[in-house]
Amino acid sequence: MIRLSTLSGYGLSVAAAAALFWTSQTVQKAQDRLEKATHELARESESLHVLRAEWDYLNRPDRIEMLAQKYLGMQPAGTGALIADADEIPPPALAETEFSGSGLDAAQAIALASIAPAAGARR
Amino acid sequence: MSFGPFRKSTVQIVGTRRCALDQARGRMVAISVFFMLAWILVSVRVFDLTVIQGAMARAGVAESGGEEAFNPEIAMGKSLRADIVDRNGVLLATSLRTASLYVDQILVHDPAALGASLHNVFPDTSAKEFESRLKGRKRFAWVRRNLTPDEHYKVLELGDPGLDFQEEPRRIYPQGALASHIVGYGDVDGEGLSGVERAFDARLARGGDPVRLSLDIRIQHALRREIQTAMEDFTAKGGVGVVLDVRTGEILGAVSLPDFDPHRPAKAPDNAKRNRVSLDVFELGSVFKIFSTAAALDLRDVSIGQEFDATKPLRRYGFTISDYHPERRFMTVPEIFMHSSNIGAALMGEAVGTDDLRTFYGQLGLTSKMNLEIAETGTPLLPDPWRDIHTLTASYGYGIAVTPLQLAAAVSAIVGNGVYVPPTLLAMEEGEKPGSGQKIISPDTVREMRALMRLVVTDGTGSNAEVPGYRVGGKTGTAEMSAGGGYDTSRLISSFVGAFPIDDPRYVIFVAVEEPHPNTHSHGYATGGWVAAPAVRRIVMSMGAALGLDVALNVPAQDLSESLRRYVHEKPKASILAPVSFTPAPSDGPAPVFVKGEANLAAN
Repeated sequence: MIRLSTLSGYGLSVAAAAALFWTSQTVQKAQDRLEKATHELARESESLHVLRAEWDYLNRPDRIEMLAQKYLGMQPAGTGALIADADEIPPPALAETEFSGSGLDAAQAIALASIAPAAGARR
Repeated sequence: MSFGPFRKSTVQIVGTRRCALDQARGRMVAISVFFMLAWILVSVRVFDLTVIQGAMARAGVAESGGEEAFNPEIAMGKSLRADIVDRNGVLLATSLRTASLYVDQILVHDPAALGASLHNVFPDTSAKEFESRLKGRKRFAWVRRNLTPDEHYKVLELGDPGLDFQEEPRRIYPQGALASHIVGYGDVDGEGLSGVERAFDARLARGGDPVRLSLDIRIQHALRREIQTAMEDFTAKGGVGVVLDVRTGEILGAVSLPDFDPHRPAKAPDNAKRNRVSLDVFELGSVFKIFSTAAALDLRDVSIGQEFDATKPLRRYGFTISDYHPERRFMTVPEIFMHSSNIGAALMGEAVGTDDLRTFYGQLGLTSKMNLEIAETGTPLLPDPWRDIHTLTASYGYGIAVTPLQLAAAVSAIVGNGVYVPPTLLAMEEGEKPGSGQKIISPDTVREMRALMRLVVTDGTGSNAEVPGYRVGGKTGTAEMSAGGGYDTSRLISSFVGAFPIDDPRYVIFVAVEEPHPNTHSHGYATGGWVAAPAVRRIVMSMGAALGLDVALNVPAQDLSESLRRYVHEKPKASILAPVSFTPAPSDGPAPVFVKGEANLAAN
């Protein structure tokens, strides 16, 4: 006869083995995930690194200058075009519209003239 | 009744035989148990390997689970050589992983055919050359290092079993030749051979944080572009330029032309690889009058209005010193400075005396090798022995040869606050104080020197450097290059050193052009005022835009040069500061959004 204690001993050891197996599997899976994530991270940071080098390569000042000249028709701003204080910019000249002399300031007159083209065209 | 090995025998054996039987049974039970456990273990492991891990492999989870030790540091690129960046973090040098191609020569069956197909991928190397690398009995031989991804792909497409790749880091310089002399270059194994790559080799090899240089790539570019333009305009042989931050000593730009592609240093001629900024020494001529004048004003009781006899060439110790454009009259200090009179400068140097002038030059760092981060630093050439005649010539920049960087640093000390700030190639950290030396000249002399340098631009030889709104001050220099014991009048080095805003200078710019030739616009001149001063003007304009510097209106009455005007005795010529009537912008061309003419600005 197998005694109850022996049977429960067998049962316990089987349970322990199963628990151990389950734990080790979980750990292994987690390790694999970690490794995968680290690899992915490394790959991403590597491609970031490459992209950054490429970005700085494509943003070389001489290349930007060449492209700006080719496509934008812009020129470096001379000091004549730079002012220290924005308030120094004179108001735009009053547009020749029927709103001239109406007591409106220039910006308002121009804005009105632009939204009322028919009125302006009558003159 | 129970069965199996545990069943008790019903046969009763007695005596000694019984003992032997019991023993045998016990052993059999033990062996059976052992094998059963072993079987269970094996089947569990088989289940694990096939069902569990097999499923994970199919799901792609365990794809990278290799036996080799996994090092995230290597994978993350931290083990690569550290980057070099400019002050704003723009990459100047970085390391990328690339594939390098090697061959196992034993596995190559037809070297000739493989060589021909490799030649198709790399047209710059002949098929014969490849064939010689593929032939032999070596298990490992490099075929080509650091392939581009495209080349890598094409070689993979060849699919030859003898070819294989090894990952290697490669040094990339995204800015190309732009700062090649400062950043330097390395060999194929990544060891630094020149510039910062060499000076910080150990630090860079450890990896980690980038080395941040003081250079600003935008200023560096403007400097290089304008020197190149000046070289092309005047069909010159070489050019050199420095931009210094007066307060911190940071080198914002350092250009030496011709330059080279740091990816292919071996292909560059030696002339292009020479660092003209900090290694080569030049006799720079009249720009030295800044130092002799400062010495005379500071060390001797020379007042700014004192007159010196420039009526005729100066004869001393058997030599004759004469002026390029003789005025043949007595001249005040401002007149000597703005007309760049050698006679006047020599007389001022004589007033200072040999010992004091030499000490003064020493305090400005002009007599000894500069202590810079990179190894490419030149030792000045001084008169040996230094006789009194050399004091006279050194007063106008002959007989003493220094590096352009030394000159810029010395000028920076004069116009800054009279203290020598050692130049540095490393960016200052926030709150870091620059190294500062002893006071060399008094604040009064600093103010007078600023005014004198401003006068050169408003009324003198440097008028081509004026940028309305930025108040540039400076000094031109045109020196003949020494050739076999004498000087060659046809080979000039034309320079301009400028500081702006001159009332309280932030930046010193030095530009020199080697062997310029007069062009159709320069009225037969190839002097500093015609060659280098316009370049400095354009650099100042670019810097103003790039750095967002404030534009201050030119008010002639408040200009620094105004205080000196009463010492200038000559028929008044049109000063560039004179108010000009407003002329509207030409109507053709793209209409700017907002036009406010420079002249109008000046008249305000």
